[in-house]
Amino acid sequence: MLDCIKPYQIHFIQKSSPTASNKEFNFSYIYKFYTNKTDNYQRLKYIIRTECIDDVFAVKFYAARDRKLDEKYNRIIKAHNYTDTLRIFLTCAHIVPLILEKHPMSSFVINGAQSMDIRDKIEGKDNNQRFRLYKNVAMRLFGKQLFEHYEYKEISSYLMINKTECLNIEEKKERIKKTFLEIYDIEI
Amino acid sequence: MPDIMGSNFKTKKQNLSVNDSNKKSKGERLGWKSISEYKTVPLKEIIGKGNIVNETYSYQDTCVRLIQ
Repeated sequence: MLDCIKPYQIHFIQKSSPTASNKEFNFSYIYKFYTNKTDNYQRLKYIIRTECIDDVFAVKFYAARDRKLDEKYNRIIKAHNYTDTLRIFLTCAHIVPLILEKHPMSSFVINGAQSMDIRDKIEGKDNNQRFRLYKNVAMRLFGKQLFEHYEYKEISSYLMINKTECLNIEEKKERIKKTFLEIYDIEI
Repeated sequence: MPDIMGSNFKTKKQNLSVNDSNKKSKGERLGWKSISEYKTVPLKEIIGKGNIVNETYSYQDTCVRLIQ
């Protein structure tokens, strides 16, 4: 099905430095894209943030209208059907080759945010719906020549480790995990 | 005639509101917890060791590959 879907056009906005309130990363590339207007909804602007920590890029995206909300990554947006939702994920995945052009040794991580619905119900942490979709898309779009794929189902996170000039993938994976745990010493 | 049409419309609108309040949300259908019941835990306590993803796809699926 993915071969029938074209990504939305991605526009680079800026390279951003950490702020006082958001200082876990070294820098971030920020992009935007627009979905299409449908019969019932206006087009939506989306923001993609790719936050770089050492040689790992964390990919995050949200609807720009939700940018001030704490739960901007968690909201279920009814404007999109299944195909449109896949198209959004596909668009975000197209960021990876763009980043690799500038940073050919980079690895990538994405976390599936827990969904929240209109009645304030929240999905579990483990193997959530976003994670399952991200995993499916990642496995189809990115082969195993350049990346080794890892899943952390219990926290719904997916990691693609760049194999370029890497002597010990397991060691690299553990280093990345340790770095992220030190930086994101949080409760979820 | 216009009065009958107007009353039909009002009835339909009232029924729609009632139906919406009876209709379960996605979280309710899937058994998600309410935010007030949700307990956070330290990331370090629940993160696992990370498992290699070994599933493979057929050539037809690989033709959409962005990166090999």
